[in-house]
Formats: sequence, structure tokens, C-alpha cells
Amino acid sequence: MIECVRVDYRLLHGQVAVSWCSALGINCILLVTDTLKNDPIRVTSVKLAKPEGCKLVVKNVSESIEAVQSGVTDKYKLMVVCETVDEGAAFVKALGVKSLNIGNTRPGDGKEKLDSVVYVTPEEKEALLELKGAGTDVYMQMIPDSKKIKL
Amino acid sequence: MRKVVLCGHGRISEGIASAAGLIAGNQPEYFNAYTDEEIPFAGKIRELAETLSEGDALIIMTDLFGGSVNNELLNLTRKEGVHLLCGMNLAMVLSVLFADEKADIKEVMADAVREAKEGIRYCNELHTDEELDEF
Repeated sequence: MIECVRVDYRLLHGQVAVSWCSALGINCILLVTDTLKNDPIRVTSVKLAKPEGCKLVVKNVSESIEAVQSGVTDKYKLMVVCETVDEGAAFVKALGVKSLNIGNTRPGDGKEKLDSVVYVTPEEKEALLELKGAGTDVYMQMIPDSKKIKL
Repeated sequence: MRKVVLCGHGRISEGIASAAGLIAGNQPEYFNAYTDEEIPFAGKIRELAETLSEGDALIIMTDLFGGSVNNELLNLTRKEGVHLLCGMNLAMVLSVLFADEKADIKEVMADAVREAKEGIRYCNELHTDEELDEF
């Protein structure tokens, strides 16, 4: 069962691994990314960040959606981390997930700063507002103890 | 009830405390030693030790074994409930902050030392042979 879907360009790192996973009792993490498997150093760093006793699965967005739809993930307390807003929005839409946490996104030119570590392009903002309009709870929350800020 | 306090030369404890606050959500108390805006750390920490209730613990973490900060605070360990860890790094501080409230304090200390040491690696020589998992 999906406990949390989060957008975080750094995928798995201290904050996510330690604070979110322990707060939600996560035993399986799904990283939704097209780019991770091509970079051996990033793969090593996510494997190292993996909490003890937790499974770590990496898939692109369509494989991820298929996996959840097939039911293989039902038995886990699953944390899903999507590398980008687009992947997060697509995942949440396809599966009817009720909420999306926008955690960390890469800063860049032409991006609007929504919160201390959240930057979005106009298209990404549009996609998130669309999700919100459709009833998804879109919020920003860095770690479980931080204040939850609604979009 | 456990209270955590960091103390070290210059602003090392301020730095580690802020990093711990970012990851753990709550920043531990700290005292900078030998800086311009110095608050006499030994007196302040002694006060914390003296107001400890029965069954409570004060966990002091310092920077350097053999350094003057640690030496100054060594005396406080005579008091029941005061525990002193030196050679703090972020892994050690997080280990203590995330430790089970109900765990035995000696175990918490042993875990903190172990996790502090295990976090020290020469990364060019890391290999993880484990494959990524499947569902």
C-alpha cells in the first residue's frame, strides 16, 4: 500500500531515507526515474542511503504504474519517490493517488520558487494546479516534522 | 527523558546542531566554546546536570578527545545520569536523536559510538555488490 508519493530530484538521501521512512514505517521504496540506472555513482549513493531492512526498487514511470496496477506492491508499506514533477503528476494521475508531496526540486532559470527547496517551471506549476483542481492534495513538506504547506 | 547538548571549540557544535536540525527536525541545544560571543559553557552545562531529575539523562557530545572542552566536562560524569560522548560527528548526533526513548542508555551510547565510526569511509573504495531489488 502506497504510504506517500514524493517528488525529490535527489531521489534517496538522508532526509527521505531516515526521517520519512521511519515516520511512516516504510519497508519498500520505489524510485521513479528514467536517469538513475545510467549513472553508477548515483546508483551506489542510493543503495547506501537505503535504510536497513527496506527494499529498494528503481523503475521508470510506466513500469512503476504497471507494477502498482498489477498488485505486487500491495503487500508493502511503500514510499514512492519521483525524480521530477512530471513523473510525480503522471504517477498520481494514473493511479488515483490522493496526495502528492513536492519535496525537493532543482533550482534553475525561469523557475518560480514556491518554498525553500521547491522550484517549478510554469508548465510544472500548471500540471500541479491541474492535479489540485482534480482533487489531489498537493503539498510541500521537507521532513515529517516540517509544516505542511498546501500548494 | 533525555536531553542532548553539543559542545566544542569555536562553532563546531553550532554547525553540527544546525545540520542535525535539518535532518531530524529538532535542533539540539549547543554551546560554542572560545568564541567572541562566548557563554561560559562549563557553567551552563553544569546547571543542566544539576537540575536533572531522577531517571533522566543528560547526553553531552563534544568534539575532541583530550581537548579542553571535553576535559572540562569530564567531571560532570560523576553525577548519575550524565553521559559524555566525544569525537562527535553528524552520524553520532543523529544516532542519539533517533534512538528509542525506552532503550537502555548504555545501549544508546554503544550504538552512537558504533554508528559514528561506521559512517567514516573512504568512498573511492566503496563497493556494494547487492543488486537493486525487485518487488
